[in-house]
Amino acid sequence: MKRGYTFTLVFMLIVAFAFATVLALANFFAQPAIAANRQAAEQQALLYAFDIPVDTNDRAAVEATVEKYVKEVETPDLTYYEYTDDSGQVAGYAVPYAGSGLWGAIEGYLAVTPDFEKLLGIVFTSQNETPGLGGRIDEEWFKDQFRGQSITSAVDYGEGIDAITGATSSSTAVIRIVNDTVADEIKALEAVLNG
Amino acid sequence: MAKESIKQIWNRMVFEDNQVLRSILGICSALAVTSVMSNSLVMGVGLTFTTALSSFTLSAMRNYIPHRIRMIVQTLVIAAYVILVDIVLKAALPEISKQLGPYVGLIITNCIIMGRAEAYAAQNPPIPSFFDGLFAGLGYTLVLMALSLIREILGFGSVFGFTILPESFVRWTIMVMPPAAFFLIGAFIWIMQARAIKKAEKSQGGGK
Repeated sequence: MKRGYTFTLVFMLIVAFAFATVLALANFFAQPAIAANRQAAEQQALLYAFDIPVDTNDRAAVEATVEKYVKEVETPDLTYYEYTDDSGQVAGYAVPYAGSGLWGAIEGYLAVTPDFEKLLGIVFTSQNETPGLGGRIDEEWFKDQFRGQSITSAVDYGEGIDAITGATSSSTAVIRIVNDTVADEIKALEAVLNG
Repeated sequence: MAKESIKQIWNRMVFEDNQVLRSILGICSALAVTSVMSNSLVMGVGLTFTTALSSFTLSAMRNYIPHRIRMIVQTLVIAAYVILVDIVLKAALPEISKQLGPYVGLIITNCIIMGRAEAYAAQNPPIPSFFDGLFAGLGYTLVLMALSLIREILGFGSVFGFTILPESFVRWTIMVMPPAAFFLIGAFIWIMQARAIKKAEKSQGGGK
């Protein structure tokens, strides 16, 4: 059947409008759940970076633990998180970071000891590395290797940290991000805290 | 076209015309997400859902879509369902959504969906089109599961994340990398091809 341009144009507009409406509604109703998931993920990530044990399946426990130990501090220059342990001593600081991975941005938190000499831990909250290859940077064995690494000199593979087989670019990106974050954000935080 | 029963569609899409092994479609994702079974399963379910529903929708609209913009409409409908899958995953299964990240969005580029929309849904009524898409997706899922079963056992010593092989078993690193999927798919295609040839010879012989 032959149809005019007007029909084609109107048809396309109606179809596009109908599907966009459906998606907008779905997005609207899913938004609270997505936001809650995101917040829970952020809180879990912070606890993980500071190596504070918690039952990650229990959202209420995660929230309570964060309230108890972790304090968000905003200064004009940067936002950081302060970890106060059971004895009331400051046991670590964490800063958010962002850097480029192989396919897209890698974001997360990097936590250091209060004397700024060692890493407490690293965590990824957002990464688009290849699932099953570079995506494995998000596996515990990989992230746990960074705990206790000295940051008085640049961190590198070999000395107690293994890269991921088959994911050289992602592994290199992580090391670069760690060193950049130490050089920039962590140094800036040190300067802020020491006045 | 003669009317096909649902069982015939099942046989056609899952075995005879399996989209991965016989039509060689959807290979990129079959190489990329099959290193562990859980990712493959979610990818398969996502694709099955998208293909079934987009085939159904496009078939229902097939008599109204102006011919020269049909591909634009197909892309639009498919994209809408893919975004829907993405939203549902983010809301209900945040962990898996994080793992699959970019691949969910890439479902839209999977040739199987548009292939079924063009090859079948454009000429057939909605219900058969729905099953055509559904079984095309299931055929894809089955191949992905078979691939990832082999890759996960040999590469990680586990099935669905549960370790089943002892630590002393040396993991095959190659299995974790895409080339392993490439070789395995090749082997699968070989088997299917050999089977098809045998079957064709048999039916020819019977005809003489």
